[in-house]
Amino acid sequence: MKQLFKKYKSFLISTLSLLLFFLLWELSLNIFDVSKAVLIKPSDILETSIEDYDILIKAMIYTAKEVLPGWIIGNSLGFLFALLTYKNESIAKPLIKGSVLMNSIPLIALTAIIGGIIGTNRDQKILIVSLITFFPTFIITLSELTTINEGHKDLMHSYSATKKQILRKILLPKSLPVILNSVKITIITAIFTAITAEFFGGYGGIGIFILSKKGLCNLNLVWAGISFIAIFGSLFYFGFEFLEKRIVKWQRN
Amino acid sequence: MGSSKPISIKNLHVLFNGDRSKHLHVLENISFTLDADSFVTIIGPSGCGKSTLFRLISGLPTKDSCEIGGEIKIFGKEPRVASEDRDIGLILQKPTLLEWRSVAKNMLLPLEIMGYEKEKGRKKVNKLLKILELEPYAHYRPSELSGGMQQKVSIGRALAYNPELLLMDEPFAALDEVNRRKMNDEIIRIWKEMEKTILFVTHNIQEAVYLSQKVIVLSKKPSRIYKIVDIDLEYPRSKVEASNKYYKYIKEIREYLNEATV
Repeated sequence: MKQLFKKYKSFLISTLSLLLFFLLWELSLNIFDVSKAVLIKPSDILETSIEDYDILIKAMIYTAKEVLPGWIIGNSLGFLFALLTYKNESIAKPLIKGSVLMNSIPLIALTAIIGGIIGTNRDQKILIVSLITFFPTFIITLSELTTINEGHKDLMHSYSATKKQILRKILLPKSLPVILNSVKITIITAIFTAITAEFFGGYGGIGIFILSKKGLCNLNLVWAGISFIAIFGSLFYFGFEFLEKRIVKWQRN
Repeated sequence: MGSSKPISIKNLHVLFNGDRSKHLHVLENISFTLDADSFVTIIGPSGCGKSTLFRLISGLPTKDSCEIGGEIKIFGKEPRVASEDRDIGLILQKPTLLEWRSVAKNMLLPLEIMGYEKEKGRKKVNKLLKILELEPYAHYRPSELSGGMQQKVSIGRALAYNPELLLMDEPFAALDEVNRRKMNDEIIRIWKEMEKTILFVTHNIQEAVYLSQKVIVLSKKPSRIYKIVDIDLEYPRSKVEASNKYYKYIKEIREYLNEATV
């Protein structure tokens, strides 16, 4: 029992504090009699979420179909480009500069530019998400692949290992935990990038949903939309973390 | 390999070309040979160029602004060639194990790189695990082992492809006295059992006398061979450790080191 508690301690604490937070929110609104126009009670949000869950889920799935492909494409390309260029500084350096430049363009401007070229469809969101998630994974993979422990280097030299063998036996496995971390962090980036892009036009998705309900002053649905994003984000993030821990077992101690 | 000595060094000079016109002599006029199946230790004050000498013998790259004269032959070959022929097993100061691999898989690494078939490699590693008494730890990860055990695994890794010559660069420097002694006994056992030639680098006089048949004392920079001391004591040394003769050797080498450092 004690061990079980230890194992789920952090989970329990975070769940309890979250519940406490909602409880305080609910109670203080009741006590101070705050108007619905200012802030809504969690119970109202829950009620609306349950009532309209079908349209909310539909909107969330629409957004997920922008987030997932964009996230996968961006991260894969980031990893692939790093893999192709880590041996060649003269190619890697301009690529780094280019992606820094790309990432310093405000998201709003980037959305507008790409929207102007290919329209405000789903492909636009996928493209923007891939561009944004490409950067961290590319830079981190590159820096991991270009650093090696001196002892490992000497050892591989004494085995007369080829560059490919050094990559496969040393560089890739030692980089894996760091790369997976970057991939994990880009989950959150990908979600808010897609939703921000939706705010500037589109044909569906949770961002569009929130925007239109806000226009109708239906704050209950706005908040329901926001909580769906939070749930989707957490599920995605912690689901990935669960996988990550299984892949890099040796890191745990 | 024929009759070639495991190590034969003639008139080795190493010069570092500094930024200014000053040249720094690191090694000067080093000559010695190692017989097959011998255990020889190099001892010297820190910063005397032991590491440079070690890297040259191992066939590892040195700093690029380095001028090398003289001759190093490993079994009659250039060190690089000997290394490619798998004549040399390296054991470095740090165990440098791959933390994501188990003990057995760490020992398999050089065999994988040589392109061994999986089954064949595994059989070899299993045999070694038995000799090194590492069998119970085969599936442990390096982070679960003590420093001494980690270094033992790194010795196993060097032995995996059965090199004739083992080069050890202060492998037990990071261990405490008790574990160092344990590992010293282990390395003697391995040396006797597997009939290897070992060149051991250390700055610990006790360790040098405890282990070797011959101790080469280097002077401070520019390093020359100050003295070569033959240690005429039987193995296991734990039996003669309390003898006068043993202490005489320690005293003698300490005196040489003091003289060589002045």
